Amino acid sequence: MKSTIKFASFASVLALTSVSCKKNFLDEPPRVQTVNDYFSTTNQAAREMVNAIYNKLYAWETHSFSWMGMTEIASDNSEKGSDPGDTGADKDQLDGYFFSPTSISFGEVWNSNFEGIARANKAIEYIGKLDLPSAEKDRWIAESRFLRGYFYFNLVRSFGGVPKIDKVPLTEEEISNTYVRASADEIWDLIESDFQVALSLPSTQLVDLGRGTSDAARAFLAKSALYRKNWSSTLAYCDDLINSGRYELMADYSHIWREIGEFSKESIWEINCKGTDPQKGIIGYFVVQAPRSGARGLGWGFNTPSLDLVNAYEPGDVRKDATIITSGQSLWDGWETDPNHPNKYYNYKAYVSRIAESWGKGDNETTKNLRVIRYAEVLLMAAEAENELGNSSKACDYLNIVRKRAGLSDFTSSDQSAVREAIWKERRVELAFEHDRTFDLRRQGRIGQVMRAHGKPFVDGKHELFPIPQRQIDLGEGKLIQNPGY
Amino acid sequence: MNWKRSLIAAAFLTSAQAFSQTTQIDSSAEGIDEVVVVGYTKSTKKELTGAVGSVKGADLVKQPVLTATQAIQGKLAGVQITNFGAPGSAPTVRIRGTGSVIGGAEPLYVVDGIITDDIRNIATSDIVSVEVLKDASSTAIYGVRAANGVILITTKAGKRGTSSVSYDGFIGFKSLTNKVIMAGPNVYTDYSNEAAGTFAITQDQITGKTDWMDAITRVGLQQNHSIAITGGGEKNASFFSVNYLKEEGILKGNDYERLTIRSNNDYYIGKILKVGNTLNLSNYKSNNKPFSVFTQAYNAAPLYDAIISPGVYGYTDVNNVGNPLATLDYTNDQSFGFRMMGNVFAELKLAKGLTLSSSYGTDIYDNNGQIYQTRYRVSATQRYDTTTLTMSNNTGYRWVWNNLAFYDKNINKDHKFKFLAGHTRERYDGEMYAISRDGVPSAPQYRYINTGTSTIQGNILYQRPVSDYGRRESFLAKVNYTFADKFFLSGSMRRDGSSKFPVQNRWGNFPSLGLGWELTKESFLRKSANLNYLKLRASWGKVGNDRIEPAEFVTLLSTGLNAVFGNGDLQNGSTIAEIKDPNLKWEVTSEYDFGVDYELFRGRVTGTIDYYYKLTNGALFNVPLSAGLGDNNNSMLTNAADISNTGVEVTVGYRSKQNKALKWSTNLTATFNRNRVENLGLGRPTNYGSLNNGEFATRVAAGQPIGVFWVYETDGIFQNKDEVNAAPHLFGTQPGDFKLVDKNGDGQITDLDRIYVGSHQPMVYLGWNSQFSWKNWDLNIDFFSNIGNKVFNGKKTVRYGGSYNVEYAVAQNRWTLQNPSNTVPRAYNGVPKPSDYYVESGSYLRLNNFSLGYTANEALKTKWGAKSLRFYITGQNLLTLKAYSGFTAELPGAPPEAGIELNIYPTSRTVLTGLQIQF
Repeated sequence: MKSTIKFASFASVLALTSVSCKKNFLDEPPRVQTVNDYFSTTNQAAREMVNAIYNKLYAWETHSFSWMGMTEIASDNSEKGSDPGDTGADKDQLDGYFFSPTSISFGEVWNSNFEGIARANKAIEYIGKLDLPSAEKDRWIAESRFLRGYFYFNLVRSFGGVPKIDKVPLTEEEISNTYVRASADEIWDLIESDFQVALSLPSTQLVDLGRGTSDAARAFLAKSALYRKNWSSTLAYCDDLINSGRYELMADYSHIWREIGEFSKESIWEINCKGTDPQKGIIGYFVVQAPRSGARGLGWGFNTPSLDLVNAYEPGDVRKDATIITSGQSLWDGWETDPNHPNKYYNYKAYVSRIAESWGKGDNETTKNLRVIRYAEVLLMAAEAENELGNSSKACDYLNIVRKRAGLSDFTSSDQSAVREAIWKERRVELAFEHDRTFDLRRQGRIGQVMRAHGKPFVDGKHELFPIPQRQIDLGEGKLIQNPGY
Repeated sequence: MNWKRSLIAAAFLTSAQAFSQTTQIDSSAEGIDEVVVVGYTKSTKKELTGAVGSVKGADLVKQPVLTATQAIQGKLAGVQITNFGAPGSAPTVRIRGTGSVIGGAEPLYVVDGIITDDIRNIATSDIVSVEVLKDASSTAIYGVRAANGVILITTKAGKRGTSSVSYDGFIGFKSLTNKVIMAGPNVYTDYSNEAAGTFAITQDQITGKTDWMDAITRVGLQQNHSIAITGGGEKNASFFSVNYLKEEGILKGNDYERLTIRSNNDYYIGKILKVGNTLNLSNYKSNNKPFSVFTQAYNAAPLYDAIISPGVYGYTDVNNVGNPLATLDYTNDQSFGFRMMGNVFAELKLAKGLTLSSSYGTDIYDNNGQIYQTRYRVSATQRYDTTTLTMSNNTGYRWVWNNLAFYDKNINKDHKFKFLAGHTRERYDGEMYAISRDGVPSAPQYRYINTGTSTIQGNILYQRPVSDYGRRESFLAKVNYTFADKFFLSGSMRRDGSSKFPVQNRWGNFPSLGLGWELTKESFLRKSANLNYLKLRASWGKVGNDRIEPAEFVTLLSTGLNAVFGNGDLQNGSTIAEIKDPNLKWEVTSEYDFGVDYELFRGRVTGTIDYYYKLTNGALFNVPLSAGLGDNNNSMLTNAADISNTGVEVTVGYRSKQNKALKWSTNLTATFNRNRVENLGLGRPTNYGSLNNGEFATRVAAGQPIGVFWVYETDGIFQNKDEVNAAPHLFGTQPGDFKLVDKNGDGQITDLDRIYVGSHQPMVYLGWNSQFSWKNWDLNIDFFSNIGNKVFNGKKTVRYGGSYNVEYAVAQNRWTLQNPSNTVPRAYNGVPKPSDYYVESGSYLRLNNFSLGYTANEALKTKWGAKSLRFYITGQNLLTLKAYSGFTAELPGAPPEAGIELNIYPTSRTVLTGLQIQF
């Protein structure tokens, strides 16, 4: 009001010529927090920029409904579930292999992973300019690259070669390049270089559980090499982890996905979720998959185990009852499910107990940590690499560590292809509903055969990759080329 | 490409660095000599070169409504008013079409020189006239905010040497009209079971019967009382009034009440100085109920009783809609507030023809909300397990200071000049917060935040500032020149500066020019008995629209992107999530207007015809960005779109001979408007109008009106499997589903097959108002009509999750094997595709107002000691003729997604009786 009083002393006509004050009058600082405003008041800039990348892991689009659809419903493990009329937007399309570039799951996963990549690029660029001790700087940049590698790892497995954006696009050329697809190999190279940088991180986190580690980077390097059939590299990274002595399998398989199994000796990297108030969990992960309808309904009942998966377990395999809820059974915490749920089976690994685990406020963000990679998979990767390198007996040794925990007898064979089949099958039942199956089948080169046998209209030469979202093609100025067949 | 440069500049590092440094009317004349208020000045209608509409206060008070804008529906060509029935709500106003997609399309309001967006604080009985400035030559003097038109409101003043006391009031009832008939328990059960497939509603689940629309509605009491005292001595004049209004909504427990006090004063000091003030104080309180209850009632299963015993609500397991009556009764949501609006002014007549004036106006508001969620349990899904109190406050101010100089000069009798020059400054600011806390006891006297029991963490929310803030500075000049009383020229220029935009885009110039030629003054077209008056007008002007959030151009840090580490350690996360356009500007509209004003047959027929063409350049639009750029919503707000509005306005008035006992006068207005998005620049056709089920019903697309309905075409219904297999169809299509037309012939049904089928915007809207008087009786009849608009019957598309109730007609006529309908599809619980089945004609004709009045004769007036005395009865919205099958085709909404009846608010009718008395 000060300016009012000052100006009120001017005669009314003179105000017309009071140009000298005009410049100041319109200055109204924007009341939004600019980057430097904020970071000049905190020494946490680097940490916060990196935390924001982790934040993207919780997004509905990154790891929830669409991701389940692409990784499990589109495989032989799982069906759409829910009521027949409830499509789950496009999960009927993923289930039935009649999806298209406009199916929304692809757009969600594409956008969300690229936003994660952008957050990582911004952090890398910004932190590089901060005045920080170089060790600290390197550590935050290594975490950013770890996460960028993970986002690209999911993108390349879903879509094949995608635009390679490894810095904040500032020039016209860099912006234009965001529309151009790099080859899958170039993306894999980028992923490997990102995880290589992450090898500078501590091997495990003691306090900040959930952050990237060099062990997690090793596991991803092993898995990346697996996709590229670079067996010796896979083996080398797996051996590092196996010989480190830092990991062992949990005694009880059914505990892995419960709260008591969080950050266990078996865990290599998981996304840390917290359902208490304020919540921070993977949006909808529990409620999308929980048993549907009726008085005992807990959720929407999507992503339900297929009969094919149910039958894939050998007799006596403890993993079956730890992976699959059969409607009507009582669960580990005493919760009675309803025999009249619209689906016979549900995903047990997504279940969170309201009674026996910390539940928090709502069912949209729960405490359920997403186990992204764990030691059992390292053993199975080592087994596969050994077998491909001709050491089938070493392979069987690793395989049998996993089988033993599952309550199964040892598998022995010296026939490389029989061992390969056994490992692949073991991966399926061990890692069911852990967002691996579609990509595993593709990697093994038999997805068409498996899915057709499963009754799906799989088209060779097309369905080995998901389509690039149509929206991106439309915005790509003609430079973004669709995958074949779409 | 320019946008790329802006994108680059906006991106991350660049912007991080960029922000590191841190009046009065006295005339009772009518016709062409009538004086109307125009921007900062007054004019006779004869002198106008632009398009201005005017409604007098006496016509406003005939309508029992809250605001003056609701009262002018159908009264002025080019002014489209869309009412919303809820108590305390303001209508949607569009002047000459819609010129903005997301920048805000509401006009500017100027109340006694004070600029505002909300006139719900002004009692209509305090208003002397409402003027609507329609074309750009009239509005350009308001510059950067005038693109949506300007509504000027002038309040009453006292007259020197008179005095009077008057009372004006009414009392009446409002009730629901035009109910949509829903299925009863048995029809509902049949339909749901047929649709569901996997589980069935059994006979023993039918425990009662409820018509939910009846259960939640009531007849609401309406009342309005105002007392006005005006008077003046030799040196002063004053107007004082008190107005009380209470509207009870048709939704049980929903009401709005308002008290206003007005005190306008003028003082005459010496011969050359006049000073004075206007002051309006208003206080309101409303009991809010969620309007979503109407939709809930539409969806709720009809097969149980609303109330089982006092305080015990019925429920059902067959769907998850919840008991609508319980929702209503368990809502405790109040808002209340205070607002002060007024100004002080001085006018100095310095020399002959030269007047200086200064006025300082201010508008201060303080709005509060209190929501108390009580602990209750109706069923396992309809419950609230704790208690929560949420209190909110929104407070702010605005001031505007106008300094003006007027100079009138006549050079011999042929040349008349009127000059205006001025300077204005304005500032507005506000803030808003909300706090909530659990565990607050339920007795009203304990409903304070400090009585809560929950720990404070996480339950107290602060949001600040949400309110708009900014500053403006303007220089303005205007000239009116009249030559020989037959040629009229007006020109204006406003230079506006606004703090809302980046420094390089803060200032803009808004010029206008208007020409008028009174043909009937020419020798070749002398006045005759049949043609009394004919004037041609042509005008052009340029105006802006700066309705945009402040600081939209600033790249900011997004905080709260948190992540959890360790044992539940929630850590802050921040990043630059959005790409902003650092060159953001206001929207600019240029408008041409050509008009004819005429009077025929000795003034018995009068009217106006206008043609206009408005082109808005740089309308704000969210341009999509490819995902690789990493924007959090993959779009950037920028000045991308061009929008045109082309129209014709026709007004015809007729007045019968004034010397007969039965007099009548009538006025017909018709407005034809065509709205079109000319192009979207770098924007793409963008979907709007979410149906809350994953589908969208409207679009903004080049070549189409804003918010055009975008749907699949249907070609009847598949009768059997063979028909399904023979035609392109969506996966899962069964007999009884619509045949969606494969428009592009690619053998698939995709979005590419969708067609544009019209919009919520009418092709023409009409008002027809008539007044009759006979002896002491008077009768007023107002009709209003919209023609050519479409409505999307969105509520019919939502049976999401299954087992929502269904309209009786839909259930009865549905396709079954026994009833091979070709128009109504089979029972279905899924999400249907938006198709032309849901698009219905929105044309309607409504009897807006019917008022019959009786003015007391001298004997009665003498007995009461009154100067005048009138009784009346009024019916508002008595009758509607419409094609639409839903509740109402009058659906306000944001420009890109209006006209969808998804969240229902049914229409109501009001019948009331009133008294006007003056002493």
